[in-house]
Amino acid sequence: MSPSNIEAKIHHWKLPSLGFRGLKYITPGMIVIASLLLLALLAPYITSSDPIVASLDQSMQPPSFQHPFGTDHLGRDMFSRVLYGTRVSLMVGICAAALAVLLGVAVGLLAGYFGGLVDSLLMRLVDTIYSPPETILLMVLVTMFTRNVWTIILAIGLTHWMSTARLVRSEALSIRQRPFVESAVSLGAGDGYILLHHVLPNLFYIAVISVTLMTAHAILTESFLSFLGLGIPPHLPSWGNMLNEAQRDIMRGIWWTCLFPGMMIVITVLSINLLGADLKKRLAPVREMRTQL
Amino acid sequence: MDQNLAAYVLRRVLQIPPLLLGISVLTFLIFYLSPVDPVIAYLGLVTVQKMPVEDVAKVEKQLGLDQPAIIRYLAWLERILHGDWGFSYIKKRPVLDVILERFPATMLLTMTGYGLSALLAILLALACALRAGSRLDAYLNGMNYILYSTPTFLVALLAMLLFSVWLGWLPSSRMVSVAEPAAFWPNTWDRIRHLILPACILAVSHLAVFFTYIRSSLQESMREDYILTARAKGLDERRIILRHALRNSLLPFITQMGLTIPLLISGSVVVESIFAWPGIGRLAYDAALRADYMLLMGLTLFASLLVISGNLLADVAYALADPRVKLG
Repeated sequence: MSPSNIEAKIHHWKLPSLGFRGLKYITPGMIVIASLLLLALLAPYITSSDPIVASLDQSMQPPSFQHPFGTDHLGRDMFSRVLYGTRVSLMVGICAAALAVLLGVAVGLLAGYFGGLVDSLLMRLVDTIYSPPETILLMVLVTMFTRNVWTIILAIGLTHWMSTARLVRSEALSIRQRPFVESAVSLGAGDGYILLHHVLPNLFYIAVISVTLMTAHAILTESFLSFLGLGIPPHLPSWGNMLNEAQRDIMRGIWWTCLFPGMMIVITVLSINLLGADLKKRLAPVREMRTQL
Repeated sequence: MDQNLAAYVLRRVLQIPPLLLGISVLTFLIFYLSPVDPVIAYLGLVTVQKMPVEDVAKVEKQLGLDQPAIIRYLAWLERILHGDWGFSYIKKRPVLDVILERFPATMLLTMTGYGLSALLAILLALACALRAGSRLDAYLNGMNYILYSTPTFLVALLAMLLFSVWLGWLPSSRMVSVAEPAAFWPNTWDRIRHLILPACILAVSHLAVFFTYIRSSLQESMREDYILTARAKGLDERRIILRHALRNSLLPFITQMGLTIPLLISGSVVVESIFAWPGIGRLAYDAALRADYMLLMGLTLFASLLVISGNLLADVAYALADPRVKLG
């Protein structure tokens, strides 16, 4: 039997069906995330206020019917800024998480499957990048290179792939020794074929869970960097940037510039995390794996 | 110290030098690959702009910038090993001096926050275990998820708004008042008042991670056979949890505490920059905002050293507490 015949018998890339029973957060989590994506896409149709143009005579107005979230020190409508901020924060979060997980899966796969020297070298690299605290490493990266949305995504992606790599490596190591890989090898399958058709599909669940949880983490990281004034350029509305500006207002007892963007971060990250936790329960086969993810 | 432990510690210590070498290469590479002009990094932008061109060329030669990367790396490494970590132009002083001077303030803040956090996490996890499956358990778990999804700086801002601005109970910045009381007790009280808010926020930011860990480790222990034995002997639940389960679940927590040191440093960057606490977190923030590259490189190395030595200490402590480790 040639490898292609085997292939016909195995359903590749098929996720276990998502039995929703007992997983109470999957549906609400997805609804919240979907509505956030919709808000981000439809922002110009929901609000007519411009999130960037200042109007000083409107500055620092408390929430009212006209400005549901109030206005900031430049008189910009906070509701509109928070809405447009969804775009920036979600985009950075999702892109950075995708980059981190892609890198992590690639490195982990190479290390775990090929073993030997490749493995030692790649894992020493992982150990090395893991040693400096990620915050400091990120601060160094964003200070030394030019700062825009793409470099922030790159910086977050490049500092967050290591945990996925370690996990994928240990999983790939164990998959490589399973009988179905052995049988594929004995039938003459090459490394590329085995990686693509046997190892990768069995790691798919790690990638799905990692991307979900990493998106939440990346959104937090972006808001942290922007809050420090080291993230997204200040003229773009991102939740972190709004909180950076809100810092001054706090001392004057103004709460709305800080509360609303803050609330959005918590709602977004919380629903993604809950979704991730349930996905983990559903997809991770072994209990041990769940604590590691 | 017995022989097994000594061998274990030695094995563990021997893993460190290659790691340090890797970190030095990484730090150098980031700096080397970045578009930052090294002369500006050493002297600061303003100084370089005021300098005649031939002087800039002289400095370049002095710094060995005409040499290939590998030579530059080795020269830089040699300086680092001799304690010359470069010159911080925002502080106008050697990098290592600035870092070491700021370090005690960070230690005070983080150790207080860490201790508070661990204590609170253990108490809450115990409450969950004693009332497993109850409404309290569910509430604490839910709160934990919310806390885990809330950025530290948001907690800090809201706490500042509440306790410093609206209630006026606690100071919102610095380590001591501007007019520092001279006498010992008023001075100490002043310092404690300044410590409360930042330390509590650091503690809260860590709570979710610690609580989750202890709670799941406690649940894990409760499923062990010796717990079944204890129950079969007729011991009461409280005694089983406190004497049997808790002690065994706190063991892996030692390692966990070592592993969360990077988080601790991240936390101190946030808390120190918000509360103007004069530690290394605030230093990193200032260095990043004002592009003090030498200071940033120094801080990267220093923070890595902290992480590595913290992990080492945690591993050794774990080996001391659990005799099975050093044989493995």
